[in-house]
Amino acid sequence: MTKAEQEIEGKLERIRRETEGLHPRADFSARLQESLAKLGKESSAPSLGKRDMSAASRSVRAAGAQGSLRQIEGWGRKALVAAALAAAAAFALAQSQESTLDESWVVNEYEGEIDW
Amino acid sequence: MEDKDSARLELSGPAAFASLVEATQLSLVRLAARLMGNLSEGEDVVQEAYMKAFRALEQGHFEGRAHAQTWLRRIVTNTALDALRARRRRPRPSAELEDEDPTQEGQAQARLALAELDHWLHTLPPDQRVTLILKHVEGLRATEIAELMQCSEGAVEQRLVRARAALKAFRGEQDD
Repeated sequence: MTKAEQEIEGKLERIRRETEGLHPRADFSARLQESLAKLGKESSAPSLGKRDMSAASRSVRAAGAQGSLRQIEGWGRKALVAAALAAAAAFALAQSQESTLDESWVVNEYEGEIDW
Repeated sequence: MEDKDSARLELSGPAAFASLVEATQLSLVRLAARLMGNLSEGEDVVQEAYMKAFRALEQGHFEGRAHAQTWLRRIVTNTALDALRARRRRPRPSAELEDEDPTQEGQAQARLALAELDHWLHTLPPDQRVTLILKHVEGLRATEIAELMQCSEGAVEQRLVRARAALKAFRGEQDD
């Protein structure tokens, strides 16, 4: 490795160290939840049934912040789809009513048959 | 075909998309901010990436072959590449430092480092810039970069060689 290449890698390594503690600004989560809530309201979720959405919405309510990557990586596609929709619905409801998740609202929004 | 009972079992687990976001947002924002050289643009990239992920899940485009985290990192990387290409078409007037967030003391050095990175790499084509950052800042192997950027390992190595050569030439110009 040439001296110039060592300098390049050294500089990038320093920048890596200096940006290691970087984290999102305080309003990032709120903005993100707002966008997800909007998407959730627009969603039609044709392939999910009532019972599945109820189960997913219970999952969201129970999940809180305790989810870990190890858990998530084991999920199948259907579980992720249902969880995504339920989470967006939960965000939307929390924003509009500042209350806990109302399963009937979620179920009414996502009527449809299971197609798996 | 999966039976309904097993599908229901999957859904009754304690995790959800909310916890996927919770578990991944910190590392994804850091990745995107490094790729963009700017925290606010990095946050925009991550927000857009989650929207894409949400839509993809809804439409059944995630088949579970990759880990959810790898899949999200790939979406973030591609979204950042698009944003960098758009930025080249409409360059920013100057490399501005973002407004200070009073809740984030101690972030000043990180933001300065990002600005330095952005200024230093601004002449590189987006694919070379992203490859270099993934390799030397994120510390990924060539195989991992190839997976994220959906290209061959040979293409990764070629981009690294070209990026280093361009940076050496840029430094030479500055020294003159």
